[in-house]
Amino acid sequence: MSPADELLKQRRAELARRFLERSHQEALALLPRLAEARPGVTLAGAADIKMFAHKIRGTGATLGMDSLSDLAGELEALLTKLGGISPAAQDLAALNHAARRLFEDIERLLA
Amino acid sequence: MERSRLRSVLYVEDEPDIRDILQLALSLKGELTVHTRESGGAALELLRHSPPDLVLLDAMMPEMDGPATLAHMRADPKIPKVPVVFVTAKAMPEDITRLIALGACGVIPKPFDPMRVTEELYAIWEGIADVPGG
Repeated sequence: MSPADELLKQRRAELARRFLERSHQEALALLPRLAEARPGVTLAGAADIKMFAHKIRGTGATLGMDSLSDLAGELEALLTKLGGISPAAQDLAALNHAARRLFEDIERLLA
Repeated sequence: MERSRLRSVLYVEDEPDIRDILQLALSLKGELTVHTRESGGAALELLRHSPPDLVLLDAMMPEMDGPATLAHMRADPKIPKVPVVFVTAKAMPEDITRLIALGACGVIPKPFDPMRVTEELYAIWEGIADVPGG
């Protein structure tokens, strides 16, 4: 590996750490909205959560965090599928499950 | 026809981490001068005064997206016809065809590999020289 490759790899790891720390803060602010949501009621902040998941999917993969990117992709896909509707109980459970797995992966990578 | 060596790039991207990693990759591995801007509007301002050899445009940005930025570039007489490459997560064949039809000379799909993206960009740059008038 060339010195440029080594340096790029090191800087990518630093950027990944910074991204994870920021994502952790955003997750703490956004994801509780899912836990507080009620079946049949319009999901508050769904667009923000979808944007958050979309960003993690793209940036996570670029920064070498494939598992994180995949989990964010699952959450984004669920929110896309549901659109702007009021989720049924089973959809809400699936959303919360996906969000929990994403949050746990952020914490695992930060540890 | 041989195009001159690629020396400078403007990367327009709203996501700061993606912007930073691509700037690092191109500067470290390509020894390029890489300017960055976080929006299409800010990019147009820079392009009027100090255009680079090539522009990398994120296709999906809030307010003015990549295609809209390209349209403004081409409509502005103060901005020279700098080659544009889109960087996009939507890189299915039909998406690429659409972006090329808008006037782009290449597409780099997201997510890209920072360790290899410089070679990808150089391949596109070499390809521009193969196009008459490119």
